[in-house]
Amino acid sequence: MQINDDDDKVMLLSSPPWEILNLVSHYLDPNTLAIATCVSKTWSTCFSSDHLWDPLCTATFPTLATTLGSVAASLPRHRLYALGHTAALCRQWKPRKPRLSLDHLLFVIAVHLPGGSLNMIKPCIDMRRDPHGLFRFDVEVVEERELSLEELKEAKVTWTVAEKEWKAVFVLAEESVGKLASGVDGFFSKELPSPGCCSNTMSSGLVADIRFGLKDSQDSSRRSSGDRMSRIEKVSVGVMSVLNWRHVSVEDVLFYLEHFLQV
Amino acid sequence: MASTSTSTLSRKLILKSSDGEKFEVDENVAMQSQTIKHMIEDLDDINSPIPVSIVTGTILSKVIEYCKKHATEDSDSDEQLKQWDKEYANNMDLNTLYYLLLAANYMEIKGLLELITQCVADMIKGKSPEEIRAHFNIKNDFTPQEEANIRNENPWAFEN
Repeated sequence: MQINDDDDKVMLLSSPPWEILNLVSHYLDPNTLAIATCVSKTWSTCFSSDHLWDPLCTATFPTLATTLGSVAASLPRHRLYALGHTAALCRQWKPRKPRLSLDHLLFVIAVHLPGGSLNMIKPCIDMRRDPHGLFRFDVEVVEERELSLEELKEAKVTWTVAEKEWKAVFVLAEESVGKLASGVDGFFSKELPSPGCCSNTMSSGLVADIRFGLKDSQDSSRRSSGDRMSRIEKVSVGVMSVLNWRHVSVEDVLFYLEHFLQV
Repeated sequence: MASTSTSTLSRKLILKSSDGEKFEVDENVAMQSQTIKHMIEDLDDINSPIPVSIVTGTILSKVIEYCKKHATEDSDSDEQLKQWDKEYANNMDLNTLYYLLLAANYMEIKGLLELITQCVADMIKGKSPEEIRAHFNIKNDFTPQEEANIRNENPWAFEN
């Protein structure tokens, strides 16, 4: 390195010589080093050398450095560091919030009963919510009719979710038939369609779940006759996972609905 | 012990720059440089000028300024010395910094090397490639395609 010239004065350097870059490189953090490789060809060569990145890889991503370092020995160490960094970021990645929110939704519930339907339209936010953040909502029903068990068995339920300005609708349960044999007066939809965001063969693993809250008739004369009569007092709707038969969180269902209610 | 230190202080050395300029300095000032320390050990006659072959007079005078300050560090607190270092480095233009860095590296003056390296490193930190080019007067010799490729290799560094 010639750093003086014959004229006794300091030669002007236009840009830092290689020796300087080499000395300074050990004082730079990985982020700055990576940016510095994009400055020029000289900088790129100088700041991507393995001897610089090898200790950084070992210190920051020890497992990756030992495993990949031996099997993929030809992989430049600054690339190895980039892989490690990206992998670490992906693990920390938090899902975004759903674009859809509950106040975008209207629930349209139709209960078809022998002798007439029971129809309701309710903004989702006006319904009683599950205290644990699950996608499960209750609505009170004003229904004077009293129904026998036989009549209730005939019931079919359709539950449609609509975007509040009617830009899109999605049917969660269509003419679902009840399973009133037990005391639980529940209706399940067919398995909901795949949201189409993953593989098409993947199923949603979700079903809509509709239940009636029944109130037994106060009319003692009829009760004693053995023909039990009930009144629908409340309707509960929710979405359940078929994997564990539990209700799914509001956020997960909103993510799911986003694929069908594009607003 | 006191007599040794007095005799050390009294000894003078002559440093000769690459362009023939001579500097008379106290031995303890010159001894901040590991290279000179080793040279003295090998020299029989310390009265003859010691050649600092790759450092010009202009740069050598600045190196000596630093060594003098740090040879008498008892007089200043650490805080004052740090402040002095900062001002010393800030008063240099880029070219002087480069030569000073090379001189400190060659003469093995650890403190000066760290000071100037950190100073140059700080100039690089927090800048985009474009800003670095402008600051250091560097020509972008990548083709647009090459530049796009190399940026794509390090997308993580450009986040935030």
